[in-house]
Amino acid sequence: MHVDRTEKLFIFGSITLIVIFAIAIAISGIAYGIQVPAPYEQVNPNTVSTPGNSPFGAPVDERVRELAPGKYEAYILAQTWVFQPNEIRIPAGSELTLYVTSKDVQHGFLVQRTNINMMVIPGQVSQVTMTFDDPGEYNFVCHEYCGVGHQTMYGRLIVE
Amino acid sequence: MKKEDKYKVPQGTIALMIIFIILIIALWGSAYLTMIARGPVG
Repeated sequence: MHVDRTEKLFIFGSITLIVIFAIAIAISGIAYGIQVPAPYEQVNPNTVSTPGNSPFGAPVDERVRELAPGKYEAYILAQTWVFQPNEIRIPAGSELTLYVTSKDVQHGFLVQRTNINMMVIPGQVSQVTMTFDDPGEYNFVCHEYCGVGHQTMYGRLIVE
Repeated sequence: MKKEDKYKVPQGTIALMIIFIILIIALWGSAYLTMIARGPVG
């Protein structure tokens, strides 16, 4: 089969580019520790917020816990059109693990200016861990359209 | 039409492809470096 020289060049260039991109993604995952958030566990969305049933049923102001110095976890319940809690405060340099689930429809969870970006699906707890070294306010928003009040669904992560 | 005219190097297409490739590398590279700079998540 005859392939023109220019076409050969383009085919070779395209394949090379894809290989370079794939290697770069592998490097970001292996060397830089950038991972895709994974489902943590399955829950019943109808009972997940029932007090005593799960950490998502705890009073809102008790859903951010200090596990050890510099190590925190937060259980965020998403529902139309609010995150509970919608304000989280941690000291700078802390490692924060977020557990997020929905009790109604599908939502999204994105912390601006970070790599935290995940889907929030009823019946599934999404988990992500990140260390926040830089003090400041990081807004988190729902980025999956969830109804007429979608644009009001946001919160603040304050690193002090 | 002469044979050599039929197989002329498609300079316009090559120019467009080069611009396209440079753009893809620049946009992809910018997104990649931003992701690296934002630090690890897991």
